[in-house]
Amino acid sequence: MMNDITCDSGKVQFKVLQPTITIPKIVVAFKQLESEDTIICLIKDKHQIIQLDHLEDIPAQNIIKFNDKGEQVWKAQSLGDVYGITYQARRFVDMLWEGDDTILVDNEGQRYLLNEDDGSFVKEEL
Amino acid sequence: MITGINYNLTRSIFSFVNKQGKRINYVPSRGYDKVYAFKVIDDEIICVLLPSDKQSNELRRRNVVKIDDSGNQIWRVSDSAIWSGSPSKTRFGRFSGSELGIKNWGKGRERSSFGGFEIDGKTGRLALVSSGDFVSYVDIDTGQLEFWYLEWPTPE
Repeated sequence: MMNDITCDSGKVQFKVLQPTITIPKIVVAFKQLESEDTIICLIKDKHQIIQLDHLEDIPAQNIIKFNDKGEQVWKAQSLGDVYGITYQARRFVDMLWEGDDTILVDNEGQRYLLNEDDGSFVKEEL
Repeated sequence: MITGINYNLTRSIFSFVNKQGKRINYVPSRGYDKVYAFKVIDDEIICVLLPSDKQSNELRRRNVVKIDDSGNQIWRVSDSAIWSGSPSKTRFGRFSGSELGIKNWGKGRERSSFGGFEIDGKTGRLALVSSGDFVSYVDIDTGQLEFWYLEWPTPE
Protein backbone atom coordinates (compact mmCIF):
# COMPACT_ATOMS: atom_id res chain seq x y z
CA MET A 1 0.00 0.00 0.00
CA MET A 2 1.35 3.39 -0.99
CA ASN A 3 1.11 5.84 1.85
CA ASP A 4 2.42 9.18 3.02
CA ILE A 5 2.20 10.59 -0.50
CA THR A 6 3.87 13.96 -0.89
CA CYS A 7 3.51 16.17 -3.96
CA ASP A 8 5.64 19.28 -3.94
CA SER A 9 6.50 21.40 -6.98
CA GLY A 10 5.92 18.45 -9.25
CA LYS A 11 8.02 16.05 -7.19
CA VAL A 12 5.92 13.11 -6.10
CA GLN A 13 7.11 10.82 -3.34
CA PHE A 14 5.47 8.03 -1.38
CA LYS A 15 6.36 5.40 1.12
CA VAL A 16 5.58 1.74 0.87
CA LEU A 17 7.66 0.39 3.72
CA GLN A 18 11.05 2.02 3.43
CA PRO A 19 12.71 3.78 1.77
CA THR A 20 10.75 6.64 0.28
CA ILE A 21 10.14 6.27 -3.46
CA THR A 22 10.44 9.33 -5.67
CA ILE A 23 8.96 9.49 -9.16
CA PRO A 24 11.96 10.75 -11.16
CA LYS A 25 9.95 13.19 -13.28
CA ILE A 26 8.08 16.45 -12.96
CA VAL A 27 4.50 15.38 -12.37
CA VAL A 28 1.72 17.79 -13.24
CA ALA A 29 -1.21 15.53 -12.42
CA PHE A 30 -1.60 12.04 -11.10
CA LYS A 31 -4.18 9.45 -10.19
CA GLN A 32 -3.48 6.88 -7.50
CA LEU A 33 -5.39 3.72 -8.36
CA GLU A 34 -7.18 2.37 -5.33
CA SER A 35 -7.47 -1.19 -6.54
CA GLU A 36 -3.76 -1.71 -7.12
CA ASP A 37 -0.63 -0.08 -5.84
CA THR A 38 -0.01 2.05 -8.90
CA ILE A 39 -0.05 5.67 -9.89
CA ILE A 40 -0.71 7.15 -13.35
CA CYS A 41 1.16 10.38 -13.98
CA LEU A 42 1.01 13.23 -16.49
CA ILE A 43 4.63 14.21 -16.95
CA LYS A 44 6.38 17.39 -17.90
CA ASP A 45 10.03 16.91 -18.54
CA LYS A 46 12.38 19.78 -18.93
CA HIS A 47 11.70 22.73 -16.72
CA GLN A 48 10.59 22.67 -13.16
CA ILE A 49 8.03 25.42 -13.67
CA ILE A 50 4.76 23.59 -13.71
CA GLN A 51 2.92 25.02 -16.65
CA LEU A 52 2.02 23.26 -19.80
CA ASP A 53 2.03 26.05 -22.33
CA HIS A 54 5.44 25.24 -23.78
CA LEU A 55 4.81 22.12 -25.83
CA GLU A 56 8.50 21.66 -26.53
CA ASP A 57 8.97 20.89 -22.83
CA ILE A 58 6.52 18.01 -22.99
CA PRO A 59 7.80 14.60 -24.10
CA ALA A 60 5.77 12.84 -26.79
CA GLN A 61 5.08 9.99 -24.37
CA ASN A 62 4.16 11.71 -21.16
CA ILE A 63 1.56 9.44 -19.58
CA ILE A 64 3.30 6.86 -17.41
CA LYS A 65 2.06 4.33 -14.88
CA PHE A 66 4.37 3.49 -12.00
CA ASN A 67 4.14 0.69 -9.47
CA ASP A 68 4.80 0.94 -5.75
CA LYS A 69 8.51 0.46 -6.32
CA GLY A 70 8.60 3.49 -8.59
CA GLU A 71 9.09 1.25 -11.63
CA GLN A 72 7.37 1.95 -14.91
CA VAL A 73 4.42 -0.35 -15.58
CA TRP A 74 3.60 1.12 -18.98
CA LYS A 75 4.11 4.27 -20.95
CA ALA A 76 1.31 5.39 -23.25
CA GLN A 77 2.13 5.62 -26.95
CA SER A 78 2.61 9.04 -28.46
CA LEU A 79 -0.28 10.66 -30.32
CA GLY A 80 1.83 10.66 -33.48
CA ASP A 81 2.43 6.91 -33.25
CA VAL A 82 -1.27 6.18 -32.88
CA TYR A 83 -2.84 8.72 -35.22
CA GLY A 84 -0.11 9.46 -37.73
CA ILE A 85 1.94 12.39 -38.90
CA THR A 86 -0.74 15.04 -38.45
CA TYR A 87 -0.71 14.29 -34.72
CA GLN A 88 3.04 14.25 -34.32
CA ALA A 89 3.23 17.70 -32.77
CA ARG A 90 0.33 17.12 -30.40
CA ARG A 91 0.88 16.50 -26.71
CA PHE A 92 -1.28 15.49 -23.80
CA VAL A 93 -1.61 18.55 -21.59
CA ASP A 94 -4.32 17.55 -19.17
CA MET A 95 -5.70 14.58 -17.29
CA LEU A 96 -9.25 14.61 -15.94
CA TRP A 97 -11.48 12.26 -14.04
CA GLU A 98 -15.11 11.68 -14.80
CA GLY A 99 -16.54 9.01 -12.57
CA ASP A 100 -14.14 6.11 -12.87
CA ASP A 101 -12.94 7.23 -16.30
CA THR A 102 -9.62 8.89 -16.89
CA ILE A 103 -9.73 11.41 -19.73
CA LEU A 104 -6.63 12.75 -21.45
CA VAL A 105 -6.77 16.07 -23.26
CA ASP A 106 -4.33 17.18 -25.96
CA ASN A 107 -3.22 20.70 -26.77
CA GLU A 108 -5.93 21.03 -29.44
CA GLY A 109 -8.61 20.20 -26.89
CA GLN A 110 -9.30 16.70 -28.25
CA ARG A 111 -10.27 14.27 -25.49
CA TYR A 112 -9.27 10.61 -25.21
CA LEU A 113 -10.41 7.85 -22.88
CA LEU A 114 -7.45 6.12 -21.22
CA ASN A 115 -7.35 2.39 -20.61
CA GLU A 116 -5.67 2.25 -17.20
CA ASP A 117 -4.64 -1.39 -17.63
CA ASP A 118 -2.37 -0.99 -20.63
CA GLY A 119 -2.05 2.72 -21.41
CA SER A 120 -3.96 2.56 -24.67
CA PHE A 121 -6.39 5.37 -25.46
CA VAL A 122 -9.25 6.11 -27.83
CA LYS A 123 -10.57 9.39 -29.14
CA GLU A 124 -13.80 10.58 -27.68
CA GLU A 125 -16.45 10.52 -30.39
CA LEU A 126 -18.89 13.41 -30.24
CA MET B 1 -5.88 5.47 5.32
CA ILE B 2 -6.22 8.05 2.57
CA THR B 3 -6.11 6.46 -0.89
CA GLY B 4 -7.18 7.10 -4.45
CA ILE B 5 -5.65 10.55 -4.67
CA ASN B 6 -6.46 12.47 -7.85
CA TYR B 7 -4.36 15.58 -8.26
CA ASN B 8 -4.12 18.08 -11.10
CA LEU B 9 -2.22 21.28 -10.48
CA THR B 10 -3.35 23.20 -13.53
CA ARG B 11 -7.00 22.31 -13.02
CA SER B 12 -6.82 22.84 -9.26
CA ILE B 13 -8.23 19.38 -8.59
CA PHE B 14 -7.36 17.64 -5.35
CA SER B 15 -9.53 14.76 -4.27
CA PHE B 16 -9.03 11.58 -2.30
CA VAL B 17 -10.90 8.62 -0.83
CA ASN B 18 -11.15 8.59 2.96
CA LYS B 19 -11.27 5.59 5.25
CA GLN B 20 -15.07 5.44 4.98
CA GLY B 21 -14.62 4.96 1.24
CA LYS B 22 -16.08 8.36 0.37
CA ARG B 23 -14.42 10.57 -2.24
CA ILE B 24 -13.65 14.02 -0.87
CA ASN B 25 -13.04 16.97 -3.20
CA TYR B 26 -10.98 19.44 -1.24
CA VAL B 27 -11.41 23.07 -2.27
CA PRO B 28 -9.38 25.68 -0.38
CA SER B 29 -11.20 28.51 1.33
CA ARG B 30 -11.78 31.86 -0.37
CA GLY B 31 -8.61 33.80 -1.13
CA TYR B 32 -6.62 30.74 -2.16
CA ASP B 33 -6.54 29.47 -5.72
CA LYS B 34 -5.44 25.87 -5.32
CA VAL B 35 -3.48 23.25 -3.44
CA TYR B 36 0.08 23.78 -4.59
CA ALA B 37 1.76 21.01 -2.60
CA PHE B 38 0.54 18.46 -0.12
CA LYS B 39 1.75 15.78 2.23
CA VAL B 40 -0.37 12.91 3.50
CA ILE B 41 0.35 11.86 7.06
CA ASP B 42 -1.77 8.86 8.09
CA ASP B 43 -5.38 10.06 7.94
CA GLU B 44 -4.57 13.75 7.65
CA ILE B 45 -3.12 15.99 4.95
CA ILE B 46 -0.98 19.11 5.17
CA CYS B 47 -1.66 21.40 2.20
CA VAL B 48 0.35 24.36 0.94
CA LEU B 49 -2.18 26.68 -0.67
CA LEU B 50 -1.53 29.16 -3.45
CA PRO B 51 -2.90 32.54 -2.34
CA SER B 52 -4.72 34.71 -4.84
CA ASP B 53 -3.33 38.18 -5.46
CA LYS B 54 -6.06 39.78 -3.41
CA GLN B 55 -5.51 37.67 -0.32
CA SER B 56 -4.69 39.69 2.79
CA ASN B 57 -1.06 39.77 3.84
CA GLU B 58 -1.67 37.83 7.03
CA LEU B 59 -3.47 35.03 5.23
CA ARG B 60 -0.82 34.98 2.49
CA ARG B 61 1.77 34.26 5.17
CA ARG B 62 -0.47 31.63 6.73
CA ASN B 63 -1.09 29.57 3.57
CA VAL B 64 -0.53 26.11 5.03
CA VAL B 65 -3.40 24.12 6.50
CA LYS B 66 -3.88 20.64 7.88
CA ILE B 67 -7.15 18.94 7.00
CA ASP B 68 -8.76 15.75 8.23
CA ASP B 69 -9.97 12.99 5.93
CA SER B 70 -13.32 14.71 5.51
CA GLY B 71 -11.62 17.86 4.25
CA ASN B 72 -12.20 19.85 7.45
CA GLN B 73 -9.46 22.16 8.62
CA ILE B 74 -7.52 21.10 11.74
CA TRP B 75 -5.11 24.02 11.88
CA ARG B 76 -3.71 26.91 9.88
CA VAL B 77 -0.01 27.55 10.20
CA SER B 78 1.06 30.21 12.67
CA ASP B 79 2.07 33.60 11.35
CA SER B 80 5.82 33.71 10.96
CA ALA B 81 5.83 37.51 11.09
CA ILE B 82 4.58 37.61 14.66
CA TRP B 83 6.84 34.89 15.97
CA SER B 84 8.41 36.14 19.15
CA GLY B 85 11.08 33.65 20.12
CA SER B 86 14.53 34.65 21.20
CA PRO B 87 16.71 35.76 18.27
CA SER B 88 19.77 34.85 20.30
CA LYS B 89 18.85 31.19 19.99
CA THR B 90 17.79 31.37 16.40
CA ARG B 91 19.17 31.06 12.92
CA PHE B 92 16.60 31.11 10.21
CA GLY B 93 16.50 28.89 7.23
CA ARG B 94 19.59 28.40 5.17
CA PHE B 95 21.31 31.50 6.41
CA SER B 96 23.12 29.51 9.03
CA GLY B 97 25.55 31.43 11.14
CA SER B 98 24.32 34.84 10.17
CA GLU B 99 21.74 37.31 11.38
CA LEU B 100 20.46 37.85 7.87
CA GLY B 101 17.23 36.02 8.47
CA ILE B 102 16.39 38.13 11.47
CA LYS B 103 17.22 41.36 9.68
CA ASN B 104 14.93 40.43 6.81
CA TRP B 105 12.11 39.54 9.10
CA GLY B 106 10.04 42.69 8.65
CA LYS B 107 8.67 44.61 5.71
CA GLY B 108 9.99 42.48 2.86
CA ARG B 109 8.23 39.40 4.16
CA GLU B 110 4.79 40.87 4.59
CA ARG B 111 3.43 39.03 1.57
CA SER B 112 5.76 36.05 1.66
CA SER B 113 3.82 32.80 1.53
CA PHE B 114 5.11 29.26 1.92
CA GLY B 115 5.87 27.37 -1.26
CA GLY B 116 6.67 23.81 -0.30
CA PHE B 117 8.04 21.23 2.06
CA GLU B 118 11.47 20.17 3.12
CA ILE B 119 12.44 17.26 5.33
CA ASP B 120 15.38 17.67 7.65
CA GLY B 121 17.52 14.70 6.71
CA LYS B 122 18.97 14.31 10.15
CA THR B 123 15.94 14.66 12.37
CA GLY B 124 13.27 13.64 9.85
CA ARG B 125 11.29 16.71 10.86
CA LEU B 126 9.03 18.52 8.45
CA ALA B 127 9.86 22.07 7.49
CA LEU B 128 8.23 24.67 5.28
CA VAL B 129 10.04 26.73 2.69
CA SER B 130 9.09 30.31 1.94
CA SER B 131 10.50 32.88 -0.41
CA GLY B 132 14.14 33.74 -0.08
CA ASP B 133 14.82 30.13 0.88
CA PHE B 134 13.63 30.59 4.43
CA VAL B 135 13.05 27.25 6.06
CA SER B 136 11.04 26.77 9.24
CA TYR B 137 10.16 23.68 11.17
CA VAL B 138 6.46 23.21 11.63
CA ASP B 139 4.83 21.28 14.45
CA ILE B 140 2.59 18.90 12.49
CA ASP B 141 0.15 18.56 15.39
CA THR B 142 -0.47 22.26 15.97
CA GLY B 143 0.80 24.24 12.95
CA GLN B 144 3.15 26.24 15.13
CA LEU B 145 6.37 27.32 13.45
CA GLU B 146 9.53 26.67 15.34
CA PHE B 147 12.99 28.10 14.75
CA TRP B 148 15.09 26.47 17.42
CA TYR B 149 17.79 24.95 15.27
CA LEU B 150 21.11 26.60 14.65
CA GLU B 151 21.96 25.41 11.16
CA TRP B 152 20.11 24.18 8.12
CA PRO B 153 20.30 21.46 7.35
CA THR B 154 21.26 20.31 10.79
CA PRO B 155 24.79 18.88 10.79
CA GLU B 156 25.15 15.13 10.40
